[in-house]
Parts: sequence; structure tokens; C-alpha cells
Amino acid sequence: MGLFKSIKKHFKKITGFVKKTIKKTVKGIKKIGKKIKSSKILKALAIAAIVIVTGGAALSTLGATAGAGAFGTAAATGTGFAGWMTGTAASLTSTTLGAALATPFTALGTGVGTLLGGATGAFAISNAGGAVAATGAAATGSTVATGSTVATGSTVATGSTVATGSTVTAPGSFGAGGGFGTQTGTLATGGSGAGTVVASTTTAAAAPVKGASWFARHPKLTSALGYVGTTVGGAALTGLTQQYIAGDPETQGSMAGGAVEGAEYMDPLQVYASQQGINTDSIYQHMMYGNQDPSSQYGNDLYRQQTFGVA
Amino acid sequence: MSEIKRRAPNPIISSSLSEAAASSVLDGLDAGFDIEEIAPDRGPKIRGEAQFNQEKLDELVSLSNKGAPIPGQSLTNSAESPYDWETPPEFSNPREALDNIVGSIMKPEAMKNIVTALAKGGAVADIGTAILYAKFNEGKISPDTMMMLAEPVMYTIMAIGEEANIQYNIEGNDLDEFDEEDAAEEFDGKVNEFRNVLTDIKKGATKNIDASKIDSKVVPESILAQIKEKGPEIKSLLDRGEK
Repeated sequence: MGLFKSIKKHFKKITGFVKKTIKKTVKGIKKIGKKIKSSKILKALAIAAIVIVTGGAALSTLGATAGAGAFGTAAATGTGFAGWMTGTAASLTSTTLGAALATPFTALGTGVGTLLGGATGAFAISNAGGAVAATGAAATGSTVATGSTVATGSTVATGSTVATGSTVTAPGSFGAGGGFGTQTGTLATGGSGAGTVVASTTTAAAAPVKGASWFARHPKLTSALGYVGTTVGGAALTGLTQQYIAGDPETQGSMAGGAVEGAEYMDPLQVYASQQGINTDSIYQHMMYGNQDPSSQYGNDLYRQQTFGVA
Repeated sequence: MSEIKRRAPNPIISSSLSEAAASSVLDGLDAGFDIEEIAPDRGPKIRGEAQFNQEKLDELVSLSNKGAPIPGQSLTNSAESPYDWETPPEFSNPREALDNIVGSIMKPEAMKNIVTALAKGGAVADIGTAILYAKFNEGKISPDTMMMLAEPVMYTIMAIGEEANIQYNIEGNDLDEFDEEDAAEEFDGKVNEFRNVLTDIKKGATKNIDASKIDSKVVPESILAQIKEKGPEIKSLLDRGEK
């Protein structure tokens, strides 16, 4: 069999599997007493899948339609379904992929809408605040919303306003009369404008460093624990507090008698691997999905960690 | 509006993206999400119906008629200048390859083409195949990685279609497949419901017939005698009757 024929066959198999999964999911949902259309399930599956595939980076990438829901502002603040799936959306949008992805829907804007003008139905793509302003975008008199980034090479037209907290990357430029709100950063190299740049007055919170200790990554909780430690004293630390002190609460739990349950007893990855007959030493050769997939959890950094050099 | 406190998602791991996504959706519904929150409705969708085009078909036929390489032709090529796909792939790790492919799909220009293709009736499977085959041709991925990435790439294209509010084909021209199934299921459900109601009425009607209470002035004597004689055997006017 030729290569292309086998690819086609494989894709056919996968397509069939996708359709079967949708039908299975519909049945599963009906079992719990909810009447939902199959097309709605398909949409939900597609959203869940893209969040898994991109590790949440799709939250910002496909977030042009800023309504509530998976890709909207609710997701960006971690309250939507996608935000819930990935824990805190903010940490995941800062992944390697998240940083590499453009914001295509915003960039496309109404252009595609015009392209598909003849078709019936509502075209959902729209430019919205909170996303990256596309190259060459921002019409006269428009306002770039708070938290937006004006992309490299963009021009903000005369009379436009860039709201507080926005970032202008090099070599962004402003027309006459264009101005900034109060900024807390530095105008990038090549940036220019007729407005006034107000000196930074607040100190930005230090971003958590990847690979830092759990305590360093959870400063609020750590300080709370310090308070608990001071108030209650070492002898009385039980239950949840002990769990936190012992290590990462996501991987460890307390057992009766004060013993700490090790991660090996709670590791779904190991359970899954043993069920599937996968050797955990070669786990990275197996493509896996879900919130317990190690590559989803740690991203590409796992493959870029420092190793011994071979002389 | 106060924020609803939901439980944390359950641990999910699967070798299939479809299953992981399905588990996540079911977990989300179980955690208290409404389907509208997961997949918000944004009005009527654009129908990506495939249109038959004789001109394009002729073009395709003429392309395929141009001939294929002679078997073994590739072996005559110089080993010094191999094709891209004959060299070791750029991405040996499927996760890295997926990131690269998703990154290139999410670029505005690529996205524009994908959205247009979906809106004009292009199937998700066909677009996915084309993308992956192109990556293989460029020497980015091995054939094995290409197969492994088929599912996530398809889902990425589907997510783009959903975000663009397009009713797209997954394979061939199956635009209404799920809707038709839903409609058929709904119809069957309603027919069953109607049958149950009819059976109830029939049972209730025959059970409650008490010949002594029937006014003889309203019902002729002969018919009353028949009712007394046959009783529960009397069939409803809506009955199917004997075949």
C-alpha cells in the first residue's frame, strides 16, 4: 500500500473514531439526564481538545470573541470552562507555544467576514479588547483596550487612545495626537509618539520562575502558612496545613496516622501506564493527552532541560 | 456577579485526544458547568456545504493523468542530494512537532485559508491530511509522527471552525450527519411517547366502560347489547387493526 493511501486510511479511521466519540459522549450526557444536541457536543469536544492540545494557549489565541465561555474573557480570567480545565489560565498562556502563537482571529477581523459575505449565518470572528492588535490595525479614533498589546509594525492612527496597561512593541508608532494612558513600563526601542509617557509608579509583581520551589511559586499561601505556623505552633500542625508543609498538595495527601501518602499512590500516569503495558522509562515515546500527561503539565521545557554533555 | 466555586477537574489521561476531550467535557458538566458555558451559542452558523464543480474535477483528473514516477525511479536519484523527507526529520519528538504545526496553523494567513476552506465545504480530515503531508514533505516530521498527529491536528481545525461559527464537514459531505441523527432520535422518541399515551387512553377507556351506566336513550339497544357482550374486546377507532 502506498504511503498516501495508508495516510488516507488512517485519517478515515480517526475520523470514524471522532464521530464515534461524539455519539458516545452524547449517550453519556443523556444518561445523566441532559438533552443536548450532538452538534453542541461536537463544539464542546473541539474546545476541550484545543485546550488540551495547546495546553491552554488557545485561550488567548482564539479569544477574539470576547463573550463568556471557553475562549472568552471568562476563560482568560480562569473562570470559564477552558480556564477551569487548565487551572489558572494565566500560567498556561505563558507557555512556549502560547508565546509563539499569534492571534489570528483578531488579525483576520472583519476581513474574513467580507470574504464569506455571501454565506448565510453569523460569522463569529471579531476584534476585541484584551487581544493583540493586528499589524496595521487600529483605525482613526479607535481605542486600544486595556491590557492589549500593539504588535510590532502597527500604527495607531491619529486621535486613538491606548489604554492604561497596554504595551507597545518596537517599532510601534503613534500618529499626531495619539497618546498613552498612565503606563507602568518602558516605551520599547523604536516606539515614538506625541503623547506623554508617565514614569512607572508601581512595581510589577515578580513573575513566578519555572522550576522554582513550590513555596516560591505560591507566595501568598506560603505567607499564610507562616502565619499559621506562628500562631498554632509546630505541634498542632495537622490535616491540610501538614499537607502543605509536607510538599505539593496536588500530588500528596495525608493518610491516617500522620503518614504522608507518596505521589506513587496517586499518580494516574503510572496507573494508566501499567494498565496499558507502557514502560514508564519510555513514557515520552507515547503521545498522551489530559491534565495528567507529563508533557501537557510541563510543556517543552521538559525536553530542553540541561543534560550531561557528551565529549 | 459572584463567582461560582467549582471543584477542581479530575485527573484525566488518555492515549486518545477524543477520549481525553470527552472526559473533560463530562467532568465539566459534572462539576456544574452548563453546556452553554462550555460551548456558547453564537447564532446561526455558516453552512460549509461542498459544491460540485466540474471544472475543478476536470483539473484534478488532468493532474492525475499526468503520470506517476516509474517504480524504482527514486533509487536512481543521487544519494548526495536526498529529498527533505529522506533525511532525518526535524522534529523527532511528537509533542514538539505538534507545537510547531499548531503554531503554523494559528498564523493569520493560514487561519484565513482554513476558515475559507471550511466555509466552502472543505472537510476537516482533508485539510488535516494536507497540512500533515506537507510537513512530512518538508522533512519536518516522520510518517509515524504524521500518523500520531492526525487526531490533534483535526481537532485544531475543528476548533477553528467552531470559533469561526461554521458548520463544517468532518469527512466528505457529512454536514448534517449529527443533526439528522438527532432529528431521527427525536422523532422516534415522540412516536414512542404517542404510542404510550394511546395505550394509556385505550386501557383507561375500556376499563371504565360500565354498560349499566350508559344511557339507553343515547346509545341504541342493539349497540348496548354488543358492548355488554364484547366489553374489553372493543377496539379503539385509532387502533391499528388486524393485518
